[in-house]
Amino acid sequence: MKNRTLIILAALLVAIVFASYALSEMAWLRRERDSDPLRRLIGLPSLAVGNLSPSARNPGFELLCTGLYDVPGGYCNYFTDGVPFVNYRSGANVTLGEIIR
Amino acid sequence: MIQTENLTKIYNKGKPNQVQAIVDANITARDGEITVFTGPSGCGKTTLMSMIGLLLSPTMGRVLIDGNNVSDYSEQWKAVFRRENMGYIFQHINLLPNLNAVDNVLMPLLCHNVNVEEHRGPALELLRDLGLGDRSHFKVENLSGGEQQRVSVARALITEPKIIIADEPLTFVDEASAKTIMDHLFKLRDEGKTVLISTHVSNLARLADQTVSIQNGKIF
Amino acid sequence: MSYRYRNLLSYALNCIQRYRTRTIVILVCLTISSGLFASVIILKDGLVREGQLSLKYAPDITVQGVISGRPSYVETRITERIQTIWGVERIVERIWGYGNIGNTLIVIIGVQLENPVTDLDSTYPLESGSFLSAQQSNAVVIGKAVAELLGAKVGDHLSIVSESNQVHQYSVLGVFNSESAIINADTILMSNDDARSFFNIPAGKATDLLVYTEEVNPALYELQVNFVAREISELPNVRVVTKDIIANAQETTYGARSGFFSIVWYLVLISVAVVAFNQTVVVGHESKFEIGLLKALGFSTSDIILIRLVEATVLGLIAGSLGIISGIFNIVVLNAPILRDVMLGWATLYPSFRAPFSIRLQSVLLTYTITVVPVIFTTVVPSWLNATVDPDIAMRGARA
Repeated sequence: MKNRTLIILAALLVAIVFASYALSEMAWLRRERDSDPLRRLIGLPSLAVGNLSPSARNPGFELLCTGLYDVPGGYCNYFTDGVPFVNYRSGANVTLGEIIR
Repeated sequence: MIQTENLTKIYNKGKPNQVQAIVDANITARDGEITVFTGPSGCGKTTLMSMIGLLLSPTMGRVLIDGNNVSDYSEQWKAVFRRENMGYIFQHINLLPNLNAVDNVLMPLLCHNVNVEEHRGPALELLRDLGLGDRSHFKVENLSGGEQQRVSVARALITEPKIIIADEPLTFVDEASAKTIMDHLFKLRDEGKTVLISTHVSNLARLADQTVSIQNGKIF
Repeated sequence: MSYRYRNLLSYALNCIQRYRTRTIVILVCLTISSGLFASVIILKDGLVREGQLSLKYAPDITVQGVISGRPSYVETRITERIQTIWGVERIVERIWGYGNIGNTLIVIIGVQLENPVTDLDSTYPLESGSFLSAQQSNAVVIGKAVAELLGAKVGDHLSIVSESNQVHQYSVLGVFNSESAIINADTILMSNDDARSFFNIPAGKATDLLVYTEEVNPALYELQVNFVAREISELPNVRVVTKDIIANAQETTYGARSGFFSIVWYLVLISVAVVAFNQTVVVGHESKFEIGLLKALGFSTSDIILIRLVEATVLGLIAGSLGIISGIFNIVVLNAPILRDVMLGWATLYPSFRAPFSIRLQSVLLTYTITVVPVIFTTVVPSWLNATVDPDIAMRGARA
């Protein structure tokens, strides 16, 4: 293999990588630019992002996922049990009323 | 002209295994002369040649080439000086085994600002002169000891150096190859180059312009 | 470029070919490690971006119901109260939930057809048929995976048994296309009324309420949303979720999940470093001798470092590129087996859809960095150390 072949190979591979980056970026920018009436109508995250169904959960991983603060609909779905990020107290908590002595 | 002043090399100085390889070497080698260093194995010939060739730093003393104290040069300048002025024929040949003969010969040119491919012709011619015309594209590991030594000679000469340092150049060669190599060295002497040869072969010493005997690291 | 640098470059490339075993070992190990890294990061970036895109169209605030601290339906009567909060533009009731057809999970989503969030005449990603209209009832638009599961097409009538054991019949109005599978592959879309009837949710309740706030300067958006959210959270039996919370949760989750895989990657990288180092040592004597010889022939220390740098960079770039390309192949062509399950969740009830991926410039550069830098380190540093000794000692030491 001539020396030039190595350089050409390296350059070609790097070019392929950067071309992939360019194509990926263009595709995402197109998606981000397009208005998406279906997403707007449904208002739910896409499948890749999450699934809120408890039946989609493996009980064996509940413990592991407890520390992961899963995305809404994500596997661990901490959401339905109260996400620590929520800054607002949930309504209807039991609160202390007046103490009558 | 090459001069050494009190050139000394002590290996492992200050340690229990300290070795005084060369002590207080004062020699002069003139341009257009062959200077032969003789002595038994282990007397310090290679150490002295290495110090003169700037391949080894002396413990004490200095090397002067054309009046310049080259021992004090930085590593960078020593490399430049070697590349511009010296050709070295090593005792252990020291070719790169997975390159072919002509590529080994061209190696010293890689650090010069020249088009190496333009020197391929002269390199092949050198190899032809040394009797290796039909072996120039053989990998050196497929060459005999004598053939490798001749490749080493060609490598030392490709840059047309002013100073040729040949450390035991006839060790692995047969009589015919030895004659070819010596003919080349004499030719260089006649061109006004400074030729230093170390050998334990006494016949060679008789052909020198100057002979320096070394015993146990001391010059006699 | 001067002949000198061309010569050095040529020699460096020649070294890559001459030390064949070392080259192959380093290439293979680095390609595997960078491929693994690239797979994780490309998928993670894709999921984060997909999540961000989802959030772009998500309501600003989602209001869920809570009873006894557990999720429940939300009372729709609080809509009037929420509407009075400063900054609220509109509120939409949403009814949705899950069902199973066989072992496949489906999502049944009700859509408010009167005064919908978006125009029902908009272009929807349909493969066939038409979208829902306010005039029709008991009509559905289904996702591709549902259509394939049921063998249904436009015009067919579906009978679905709800969890209250009631049979509901719907006519298939339309089927979504494959390109939009990531949003709706497992979806059956129907009107809110039909969904309410299917899930048997009484009037006055909904699964959640979608609150959209007014358009404001982006600098004030967070302030406005937080204000509205805080006001809503004062209402009884509600829980409030904002976009920011979802975004943070997504980022954390994908960061954590990709972190798991990163542990594997770290282990691979350590083994790569060990292998590369061993190879450097194995060829070390040869290399040490070569450096001594080069110096004897007039190469300076900087020449030698340049040679090794070029070698390492070219090797690193080739390995990094192969790694990234293999990562892309793994995600795009193979749909990221194993990795996909870890990153998306272990639920195996997903219908088939292409995992989202994003090749970001930062990720590409990071992958190259983690490939090139270790090679440079394990190649240049030993060479530099050898180049600073006397050539004679270097050659003798290598021979010993």
